[in-house]
Amino acid sequence: MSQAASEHQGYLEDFEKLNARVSGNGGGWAGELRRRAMERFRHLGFPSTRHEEWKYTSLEPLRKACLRTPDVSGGAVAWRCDRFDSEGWDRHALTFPWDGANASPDGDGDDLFIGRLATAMEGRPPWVEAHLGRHADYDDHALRALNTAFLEDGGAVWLGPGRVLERPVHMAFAAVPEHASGGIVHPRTLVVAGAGSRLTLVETYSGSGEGVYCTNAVTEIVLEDDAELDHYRLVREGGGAFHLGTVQVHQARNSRYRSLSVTSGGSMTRVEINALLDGEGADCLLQGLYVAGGTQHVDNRTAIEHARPHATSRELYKGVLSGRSRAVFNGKIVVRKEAQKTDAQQSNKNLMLSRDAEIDSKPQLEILADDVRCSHGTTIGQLEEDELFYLRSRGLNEGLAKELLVHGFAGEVLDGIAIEPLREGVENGVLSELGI
Amino acid sequence: MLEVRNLHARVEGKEILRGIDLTVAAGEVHAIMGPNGSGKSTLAQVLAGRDTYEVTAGEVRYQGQDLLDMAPELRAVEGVFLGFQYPVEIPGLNSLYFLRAAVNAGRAHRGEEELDAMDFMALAKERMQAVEMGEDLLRRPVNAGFSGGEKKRAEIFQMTMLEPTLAILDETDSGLDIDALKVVAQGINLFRGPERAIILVTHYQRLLNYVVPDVVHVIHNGRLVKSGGKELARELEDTGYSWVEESAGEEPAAAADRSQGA
Repeated sequence: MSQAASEHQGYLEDFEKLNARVSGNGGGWAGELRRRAMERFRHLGFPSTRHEEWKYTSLEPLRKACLRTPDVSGGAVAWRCDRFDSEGWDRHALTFPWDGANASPDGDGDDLFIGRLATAMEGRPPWVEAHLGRHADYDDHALRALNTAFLEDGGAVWLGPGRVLERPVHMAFAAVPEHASGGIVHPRTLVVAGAGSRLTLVETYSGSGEGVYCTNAVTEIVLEDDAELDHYRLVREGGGAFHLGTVQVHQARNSRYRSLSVTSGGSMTRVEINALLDGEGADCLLQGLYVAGGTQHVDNRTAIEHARPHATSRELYKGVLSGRSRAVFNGKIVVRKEAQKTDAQQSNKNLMLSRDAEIDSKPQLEILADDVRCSHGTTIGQLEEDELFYLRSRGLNEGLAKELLVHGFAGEVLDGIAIEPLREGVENGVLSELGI
Repeated sequence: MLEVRNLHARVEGKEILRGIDLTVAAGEVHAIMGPNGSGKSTLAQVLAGRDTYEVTAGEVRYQGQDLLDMAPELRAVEGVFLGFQYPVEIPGLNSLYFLRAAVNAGRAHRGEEELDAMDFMALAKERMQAVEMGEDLLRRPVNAGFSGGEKKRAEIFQMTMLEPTLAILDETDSGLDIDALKVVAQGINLFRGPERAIILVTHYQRLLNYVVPDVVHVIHNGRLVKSGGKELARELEDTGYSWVEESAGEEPAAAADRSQGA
């Protein structure tokens, strides 16, 4: 038996247990999807740093940790403890692990579903089978393959044509320290927004304590013609945790997707957000803030693919690094040959609070059309002495002056969170990771 | 209140201040005038604690304390205020939030209770009127996108909020049209009082028509070369600074320094 096969043994065993547990759920096609994905994972194994896309982020510690998936109902998304202060705003709440109490929060009807993915799969409405596992490609991505193999539960939203949700949908995935040690979970989320529909989606992933665990999440989002989605994806895992996440967005004609992704906490966090602009006039905004201190590692990858003409994309990712932390930003923009009149701008700005922190920033533009406007820029800097002195000359001590400047830097992204109590909670919580 | 003795300071190895002596008593307004590169802004920055300047000799006593030994923030909460020649823009930092933090830092230092948001706002509104500053500026990030005139008004407004004992205003008049100048001057005059002192650092005599100083000093080549009453400012306006340079009897080395833009 090869080394790789023995390392996969735990995953294989857990996979068989999961299959026994969920047999019948979602019918034959879901089981088939899981099996194909598991085959892919066995074939691919965890990528090494020789893999171009994993050059700066090593999965060795995760591979060696041999984490297991709990064999309980909903084990693939188990445990909770919300580190994001979610008080003070009105929403449709979905909390995982499922507590059963809020079975289907006013969201199951002819033109609407808000609830568990497991429930949606049981009912087998056409939108599940049409989209689940169809967008987040796992053929060449071991972690997406693993998530798909362990596809059991998570959040699901379907909006019929023209349906406008006033209250945000909040999916809270959280880890409790006493359960979270040594486990790996695979939350899976599907959002299908029908033509002309509109919603705000909040995903939070959090944990506390120093235990080693892994969240390996995949979210698929489908925006049909003219649909609009504001998406806040907020990560602050426990100190010893790995967080691996993919958001895969499919945008049809004139749809609008606005993403605000915050990555912090954990020992290693990597989030990939990929948008396929597959309709004329589609509009995509990706904003991100990554914050790392101590020896934390945070890796953000985005890919925006312009497949049709007249689409617009804007991207701003900002990072604040202290201690001996390390961050990676890779921003890919692809403009296909037929995507004329594409307008794409990307910007990555980094604030380094320590000499020992490190950032690898890599814009990646692949432009095959000839009539496009594309730009990108990266900055890496320190706190401005002029600004620090100005604040100190007004009586603010050095620590507070730095804090205000860091908050100011992060504010350019965080001010995009329209839910004020959430914004405040994120700002105060996330920036405390810096230890300034 | 302020005693500056034989103050020498340099930046990047170049000596800018070459022995400043200055005494300012409570209730007085002093004007320090000089051509570009004479060291007047350096003096203002050194007094506020900017560490890019290295003090190589001399001492400064402020209300009996060794000012040079104090961190910039301590000087500020002890009542020293610098109005910046070029107020710094800080995008992302809300003006209101910043200024309340600054006011409360001073209050905490004096053992007073902090102002809550409402009390602070009431005070701010009142003080803004004096400098005819629009309230909307407070809702914006610190100095970000402010016009030159708005920045200078905002500095004076900050001064009136922080209520310092010693205000050093560095070219607060530069870049202002005559109406804005009058407004700024009015703000400064309202602030004058028997317990306070003001040092106006300026290139031109213009501001001194509206804020009448008790003492005028001419700074040249890092030294105060002449002091007098308010009529000295008028004299400078009529004759320029060339006579100062001649009568200062500078040594050749100093002249060479100046030609390099010291």
